Amino acid sequence: MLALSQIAAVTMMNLRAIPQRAGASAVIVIGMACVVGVTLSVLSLSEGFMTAIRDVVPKDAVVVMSQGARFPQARFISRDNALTIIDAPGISKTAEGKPRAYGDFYAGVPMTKRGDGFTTFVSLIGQTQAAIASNPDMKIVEGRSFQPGLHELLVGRAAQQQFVGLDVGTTIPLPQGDWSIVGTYTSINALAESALIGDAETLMSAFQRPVFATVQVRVEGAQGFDRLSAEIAANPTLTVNVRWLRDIAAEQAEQLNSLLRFVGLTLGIIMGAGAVFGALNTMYSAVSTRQREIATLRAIGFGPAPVVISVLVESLALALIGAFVGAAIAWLAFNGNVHTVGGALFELRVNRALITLGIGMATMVGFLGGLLPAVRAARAPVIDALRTR
Amino acid sequence: MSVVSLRNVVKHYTRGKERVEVLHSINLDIAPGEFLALMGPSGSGKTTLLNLIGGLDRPSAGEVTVGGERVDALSGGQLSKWRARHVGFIFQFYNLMPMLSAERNVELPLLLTPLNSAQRMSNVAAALELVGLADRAKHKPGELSGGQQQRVAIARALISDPTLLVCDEPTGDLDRETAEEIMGLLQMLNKQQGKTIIMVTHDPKAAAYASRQVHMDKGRLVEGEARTAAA
Amino acid sequence: MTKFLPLIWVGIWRKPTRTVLTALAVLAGFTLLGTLGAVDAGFRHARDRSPLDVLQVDARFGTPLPLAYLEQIAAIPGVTAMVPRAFLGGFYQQPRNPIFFVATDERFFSFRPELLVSDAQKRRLAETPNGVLVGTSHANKYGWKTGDQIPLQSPTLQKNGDKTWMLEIVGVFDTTFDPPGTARFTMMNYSYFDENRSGPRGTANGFMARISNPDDAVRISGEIDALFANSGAPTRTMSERTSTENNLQGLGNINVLINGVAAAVLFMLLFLTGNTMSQSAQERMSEFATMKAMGFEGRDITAILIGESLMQCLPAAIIGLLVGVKLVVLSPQNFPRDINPPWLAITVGVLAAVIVALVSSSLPAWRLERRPLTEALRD
Ligand SMILES: Nc1ncnc2c1ncn2[C@@H]1O[C@H](COP(=O)(O)OP(=O)(O)OP(=O)(O)O)[C@@H](O)[C@H]1O
Ligand SMILES: [Mg+2]
Repeated sequence: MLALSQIAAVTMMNLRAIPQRAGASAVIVIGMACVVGVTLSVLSLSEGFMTAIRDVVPKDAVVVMSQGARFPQARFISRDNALTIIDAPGISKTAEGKPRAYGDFYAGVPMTKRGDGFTTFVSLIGQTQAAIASNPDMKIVEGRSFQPGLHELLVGRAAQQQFVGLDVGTTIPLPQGDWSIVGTYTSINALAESALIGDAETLMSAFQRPVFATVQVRVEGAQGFDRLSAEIAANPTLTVNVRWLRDIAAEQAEQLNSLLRFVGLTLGIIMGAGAVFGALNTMYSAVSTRQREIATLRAIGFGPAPVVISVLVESLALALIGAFVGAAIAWLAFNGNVHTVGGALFELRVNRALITLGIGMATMVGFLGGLLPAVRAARAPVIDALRTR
Repeated sequence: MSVVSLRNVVKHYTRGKERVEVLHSINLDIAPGEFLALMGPSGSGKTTLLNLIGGLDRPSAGEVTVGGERVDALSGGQLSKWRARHVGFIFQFYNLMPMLSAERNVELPLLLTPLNSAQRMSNVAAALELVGLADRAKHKPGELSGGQQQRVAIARALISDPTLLVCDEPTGDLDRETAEEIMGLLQMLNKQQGKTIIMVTHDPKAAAYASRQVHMDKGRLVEGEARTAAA
Repeated sequence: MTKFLPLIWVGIWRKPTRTVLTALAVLAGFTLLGTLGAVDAGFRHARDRSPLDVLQVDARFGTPLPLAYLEQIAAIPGVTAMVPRAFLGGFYQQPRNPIFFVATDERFFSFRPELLVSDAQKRRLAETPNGVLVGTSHANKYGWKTGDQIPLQSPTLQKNGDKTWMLEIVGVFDTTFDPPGTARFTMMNYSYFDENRSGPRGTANGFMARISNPDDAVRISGEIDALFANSGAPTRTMSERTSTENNLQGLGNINVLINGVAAAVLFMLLFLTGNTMSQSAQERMSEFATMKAMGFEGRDITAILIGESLMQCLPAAIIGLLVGVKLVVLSPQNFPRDINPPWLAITVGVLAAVIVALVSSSLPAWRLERRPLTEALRD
C-alpha cells in the first residue's frame, strides 16, 4: 500500500513535468508514431489481403485437383475422373437433388491495365450454367449470362474497372476468334470478382484442352469433406487431392503475404531500434534534469522502486501515445483504401490485430528506452545528486 | 586623450509596455593605462555599463568611444571583430569551456587570428607563464581551483593583446587570499604591461588595487566620489 | 575552419551517452534508407539490364507453341536469331526445394551473355543428353558437384509415366548479374526434355528472338502476333524490357512505398537529432555567449554547431547506408539485386544526412543568435 502510494506520487510528479520537456518528450512520441505508422501501413496490405480471403471464401467450398499441380495451368482432370468425383458421397445437393460439384476450366489471359498501361494476366474461368446458378455469392448486375456453345463471357466488376476493353458489348480476342462480353457480375468475394467467366465446354473446345482443370465442390460440412476424401483416396483411378478452397487461397496468398510481412517487420525492427535509441536519449536527459528532485526524494526516504517505475511509466506512456498517433495516421490514410495486386482487388485493413501489434511495439520501445535510465536514476548516489547545481 | 569616452550614455530596457531606464546620461573618460574600479550597490547598473564599454551591448542613446572608435555605431559583425581585437573579458564565474584544457581555453581567441597552430601555442605558453600556470596547461577547468581558473581566464583575456581588460567582479567567487593574488596579478598587468583595466567590484579591498575608483548609484555616476587610488 | 575542429570534437563528446545514442539512432535510420536504396537500385537495374532488342514470344493463352513457329518468325525481316524455351518445373527431394529448369539449346547463350558458362561446360552440356548447368546458389545449397546425378520430381511426366527425371550436373556457373555464389539460373537440353516428356512433343513454352533494331520492337512484336492470331496457339510478344516492366509493376507500387518510408525515417531522425542539438546548445548557452564576447561571430558558432551535428550524423549515416546495402545482399528474400554498389542511393543518402545535420543545427543556432548576449552570459 505504502509502496503503491509512493510509486503513484513519484510517477505523477514525473508525468506532470512532461510539458516542461516537451521537445525531448516529443522525440519519443514522434519516433514511435513513425515506426508504428510505417509498419502498420505496410502490414495493412497483407492484413487486407488475408481478410479478403478469410472472410469471403465460402466455408463449404472444396477443390479437387490433380496431385502436385503447383500452377493453375498444370491442373487437369479427365472427364471420366470428373464424373466419378461428382458422384462421390459427401457432396451437398441442390434443391433438385443434383450434386453441387462442377468441373471447370482455367486459363490466364493478358489484359491491359487502365492508367499505367501495363499487362497483367486475368483468370479466365470456364463454368457450367448450373454452377453459376447454384452459387449464391455471385450476382449478374449488367447484361445477361453467357449461352453455352456461343463465344460469350461474363466479366467481374473488379476486372472491368481495372482493365481496358472489358465493357459489356465489346469483344476480346481468344482462340478461335472474338468473344463478346455479355454481362457483368459482382461477388461478395472480391478476389473472385477479378475474373472472366465463360461456358466450360465451349472454352475447353476453343482452347483444345479436352480436360477439366479442377472440380469445384460444395461439401456437407467437415464430415462431408472427410467422406469425399476417403472415397477419392480409396479409388485407384483417381490421382487427385481434395482440399478446402480456403486453404488453397491462403496458400496462394502466403507468397505475397510472407514478402509483405518480411518487409513490414524488417522496417518495424530497424526503425524500432532507432526509436529505442531516441527514447534512451530522452529518458537519460529526463532523469538527469530531475536528478536533484530524485535525490531529494531518496533523501526523504523514498525507495529505489518508485523511482525506477516512475521513469518506466513515463517512457511507456510517451511511446504508447506515439503508437496511437501512428496507428491513427495509418488508419486514416490507408484503412479501406482499395488496392490491387496481380489483378486482385482488395481493401487495406488496419484492424485490431495490427493495432495490438503497434501497442506491443510501443511497449517494447518504451520499456527498453526507459529501463537503463531508470536504473541509473535509482542508483545515483544521493549526496552527489543533491550537490549538482 | 582618453582610451574610453562615454558621452550622455543612456540605457533602458523595455519589459512589455514598461520602460526601465537603467543608465541615465553617463559621462565617463578613462585614460590609457588607467586601472578603474567601478563600485556601487547591486542593481545600480555596473554590469550594464561595463557591457556597453566592452561592446557586448549598445546604448539606447549617447556615444561610446573606445580607442578612437565609435563602438555604438558598429554593426553586429563589426562589433564582434572589434571585440576580438580590443577587449579582453574576465568574468566572476571564469566562464571557461569545461571540455577544453587550460591551454585550449587560452588559445580560443587566437582562433580568430591568422596565426598558425605553432604560433598560437607559443603565445599560449607565454600567457600561461605570465599568470603562473605553465605547469597546468593540460588541465581541464574542473581540475583547477577557482583562483587557478580565474588565472586561466586572465591569460585568455590577455592572449590577443587587447586595448582594454574588462572585469566583472573577478574576485567575487574567490576567498580573500586568492582574491588578493588575482588582484596582484591584475595590478602587475596594469603597472608592468600598461594594460588599461576596468573592473566592477563590491570589495573595497579589491578596489584599493585600482588607480581610480568610480561609484554608481541607481544608474548614475556619483559625483565627487571619484578619487585617486591610495595604493 | 579546420581550426574549429578540436572545438567541434570536444563539443560532441561533452555528453558521450547522448552522442552515441543519437549516432546509433541515425545509424538505424540510415540502415533502413540504405536497404530501401539498394532495393530500389535492384529494381532499376532489373529493368535497365533487360535488353530492348530481344523479344519474348510467349503463348497468349498458355497453349504450347509448335517449334515450326521458329522458322516462320525467323523469316520476318529484322529478326536475326531465335531460340526455343520450354520449362521443366519440380522439386529436389522435398516440395520446399522447388527448381525450375529452362530447356533450351546452345543458341541460348548468345541471348544471355551474363551467364558465365565456359566453352568446356557448353561442350559437356552438348555431349550429355540429360546434362544440366546449375547456378552456384543451387549448387551451394544442395552440395551439388559436376558429375552428380540428381533426381527431379516433376508434375511433367516422362513418356514412360515416370515423374522422376534423373539429370546429370555438367557444370556450375555464376552470372555477371549476381554476387558470386548466388546465381539461381538453371538450364537443360531442350532435345532431351522434348524427347522424353509425355506432353505434346515438338512444342515450346516460348521463344526468344533477337532483332537488329530495338526501335522495331513494337512493330515486329505486332507482326509476330498477327502471324499466329488465328491459329490454335496464338502468341503474345513483347521486348524483354517491357516484360520486366510488367513484372515489376505487378508487385505493386514500390516507389510509393520506398518514398513514404524514407520520408517517415527522415522525419523521425530530423526530430531526434534536432532535439539532441537543441539540448546540447541550450546547455552551452553561456559558453557560446562567452565565445561571442571574445569576438566569435554568430556564423562561427553556427559553423561549430553544424560541424558537431555533421560529425555525429555523417559517419553513422554512411555506416548505416553500407550496412543497409549489405543487408539486401544477404536478405533471404529474392529481391532483384544490382551487383554494383547502389551509388545513387548512397549519394542521396549522404546528402540526406547532410541536410538532416544542417536542419537539426539550424534551429539551435538561430535561438543562440536571437538571445541577447548580455543575457546569455548570465545563463
Ligand atoms: N535585460 C534586462 N531587461 C530588463 N532589465 C534589466 C536587464 N538587464 C539588467 N536589467 C536591470 O538593470 C539594472 C542594472 O543591472 P546590472 O546588472 O547592471 O546591475 P549591477 O550593478 O551589475 O548589479 P550586481 O552588483 O548585482 O551585479 C537592474 O535593475 C536590472 O534588473
Ligand atoms: Mg553585475
